[in-house]
Amino acid sequence: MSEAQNAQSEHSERFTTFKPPRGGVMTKEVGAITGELELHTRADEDGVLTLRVRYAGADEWYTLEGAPYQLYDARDAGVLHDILVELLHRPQP
Amino acid sequence: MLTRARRGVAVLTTALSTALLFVLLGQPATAAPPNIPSAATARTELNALRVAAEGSMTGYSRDLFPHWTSSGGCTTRQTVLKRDGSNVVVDSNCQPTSGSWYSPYDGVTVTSASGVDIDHIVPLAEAWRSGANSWTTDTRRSFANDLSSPQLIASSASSNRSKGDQDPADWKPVSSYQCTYARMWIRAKYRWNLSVDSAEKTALTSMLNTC
Repeated sequence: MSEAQNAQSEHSERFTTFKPPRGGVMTKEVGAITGELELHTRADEDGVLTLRVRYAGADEWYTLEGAPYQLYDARDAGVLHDILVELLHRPQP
Repeated sequence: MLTRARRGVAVLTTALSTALLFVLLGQPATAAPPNIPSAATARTELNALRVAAEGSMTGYSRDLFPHWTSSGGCTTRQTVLKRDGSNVVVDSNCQPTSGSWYSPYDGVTVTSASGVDIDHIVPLAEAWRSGANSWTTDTRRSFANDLSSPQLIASSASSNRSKGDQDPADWKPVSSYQCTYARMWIRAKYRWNLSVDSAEKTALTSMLNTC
């Protein structure tokens, strides 16, 4: 496996639990969801992104508004995941 | 001559449109969710609710709140569409083919059933973290299809989406509707023995003060 392929398989799929600010995150299926959430990002080999969010510990996923998106390079999925978490995560005391 | 004739037709069309618009807009839905308590009763019921922090969402899925169920040839959604709309015409499957729906959350009138959401006034996710996590599926089904309490209402899809899972501490309808909204929310929580969190109770109290 080349280094690039290895990086993709290691980094294309990520899960992070976060706490959004008031107002939560807008989803296609159920509108705004709030509270402790989990972000799932994944890019297939063509760079097509899966962007999903669910209540932490819940059994169903929702699609983030705006999707579908496609990256030029699937290896950027990890960076995108980190950016999204930085933007969405707003811990409250 | 032709121009004048066209202008005449245009004026007539405009007049007719205006008249039609007036008819449609002049009849905001009088139908509303049933059993909305008075402000005084709502205050009493609010004070009877258990105050607790919201619980976790572990295990949550909308599938655990089966909806919509059918009764009398109509789904719960269709029944609310007929109840809350004006001049609603339905086909043999109880699906509305015409009508208009005034969405009190945002003051918008929707003229196609496809643009109308049936909002769970106390959202399913909010119910889950207020006590419904310990219910049986049968109880959750009854809650999700409750036509006897002020728990279901026709609203614009956009207002329903902006509301999402939020309680009155974080989402409120237009100010003129907040008194009614608080009374409906409190009755639904009271009927289903759901808890309130302290920020939610504070918001509901101030909304009742607008009654």
